Amino acid sequence: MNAVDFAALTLASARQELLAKTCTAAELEAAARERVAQVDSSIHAFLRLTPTLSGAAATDAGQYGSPLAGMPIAIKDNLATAGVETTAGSKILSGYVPAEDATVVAKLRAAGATVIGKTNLDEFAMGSSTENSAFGPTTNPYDGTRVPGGSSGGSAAAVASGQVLAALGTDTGGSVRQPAAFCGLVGLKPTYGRVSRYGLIALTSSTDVVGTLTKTAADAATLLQAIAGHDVADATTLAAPVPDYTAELNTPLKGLRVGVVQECFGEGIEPGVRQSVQTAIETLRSLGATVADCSIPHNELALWVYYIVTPAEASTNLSRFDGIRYGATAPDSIGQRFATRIRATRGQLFGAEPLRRILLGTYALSAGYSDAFYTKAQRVRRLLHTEYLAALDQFDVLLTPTTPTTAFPLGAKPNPLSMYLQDVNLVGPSLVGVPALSVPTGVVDQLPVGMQLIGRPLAEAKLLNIAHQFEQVRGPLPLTLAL
Amino acid sequence: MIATEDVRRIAQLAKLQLTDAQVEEFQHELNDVVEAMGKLQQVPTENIEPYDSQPVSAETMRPDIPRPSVPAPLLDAVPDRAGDYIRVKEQSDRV
Repeated sequence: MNAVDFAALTLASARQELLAKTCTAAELEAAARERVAQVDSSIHAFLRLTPTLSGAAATDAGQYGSPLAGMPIAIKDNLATAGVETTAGSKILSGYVPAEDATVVAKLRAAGATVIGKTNLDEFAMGSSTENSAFGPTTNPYDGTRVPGGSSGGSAAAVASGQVLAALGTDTGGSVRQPAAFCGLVGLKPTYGRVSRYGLIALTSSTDVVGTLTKTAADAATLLQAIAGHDVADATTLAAPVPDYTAELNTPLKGLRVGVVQECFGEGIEPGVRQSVQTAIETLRSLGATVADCSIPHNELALWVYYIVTPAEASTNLSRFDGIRYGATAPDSIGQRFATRIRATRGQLFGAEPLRRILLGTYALSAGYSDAFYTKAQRVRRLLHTEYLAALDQFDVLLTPTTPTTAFPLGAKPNPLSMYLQDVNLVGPSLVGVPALSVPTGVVDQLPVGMQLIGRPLAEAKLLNIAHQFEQVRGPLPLTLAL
Repeated sequence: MIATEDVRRIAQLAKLQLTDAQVEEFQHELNDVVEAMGKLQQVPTENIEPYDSQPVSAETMRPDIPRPSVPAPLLDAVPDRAGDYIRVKEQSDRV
């Protein structure tokens, strides 16, 4: 097989090749690494590659029992990989080599997947463009002057450019769904607690979820199947049994009730995005779905709730990084007094966005302000929770554009507020913990557009079913890689 | 309105050493964000309990049985060590 073939494969089609013995796991791994060598110098999806191990050869010696056996996969660099440096895109974790795999990584390895490398991200997953990485930005494979989205931009770009067949990302307020939309992929944020976070470098513990970036909904089902489930090492995982996520993919959509969230179709939506999503809505209707308007009255405020809750939790989570026990330490600070050394290390090695959020979070939690900011935000969050669950009681699924625009140019969001507005449709489901998925609807000016489907708690199979049925009618996206 | 002294006080609480230029920059940005968040204050929430993320349920608790700790050499990650100890200067100053 050659590299051109590899870039066009999905998890499902690569498995067919393996089972038909037209290729081996070792050849798939070699093809992935060759593709990385060919294209990643211009995209910068990877922060580092893992060494070639004997795993693929061992997989070839077996029966390809798991659907992920021999599949080259990338891992976002805020997920721990044993023996492989894990930085979360931050200088403060330069040189940090975890002692253990994150549970999701261990599960993928146990399923026979081949981990190719660690992908770029906004520092500590704080951002919507991957420009906040301390190690330089990733570019969009469909237009090298544009961002791939973020924070899982490296994972999205790696899959879209055919360097791996699928990738893990993490989604705190849209970090899987938004890059999926910008890179023409399916991005799934599972229900809060569906997937273990043991070994995930925490940003916002009340919303962080590990998610998937794949070329198709069927591939997302395969990947979720491998990582979902209760974990004794993560007390926030749900004990609910894991269903067969592929079982419902082919269920007809007749009778499906779709609620179109009116608050997400207001000003600021690019005409091309609006039209593409409207066309997708008509497609769902043609498939037998009943579509009606619905309302999340306080949805507009979700962004401001999010930008209090996230900095508050981030300032707490990031307090563990001190350069004393692991990671990097500020130059010349060793030998200085304890507090001086910690302040120097944190001040110098955190990038601008982590510093900004630590300051904002510390402010929002500080004496005299926490009632006005943090507690107030949590009360409005309760309102949002009630509104989302009421809408999801009336409808099987809610629908919004994933993002207001297609991928924007590098450097186009000069201030933090304009970047935060990217996530206006995405933070609601994160704050209330329900699953959500972005599926490409079409292409506008050579750039992909995505729609977001929001489901009831643990209804991932329903979201995957809708996305899969929609893909069959939509067909291949008319996109050309700019490589 | 957040003043530069407020930014310095917050940075002190958060154990961050900032340059004067950073203090200025963050003062402006924090004010922009805090102003935008003023919209939340307009929502009446008197009788609404703050949101509480899913509490840990008993069914997800694991039995309290001793098991091996991480076997790997965690001390290898320490930037400054003396034998099996992490080396730091005295901790007595105010943070």
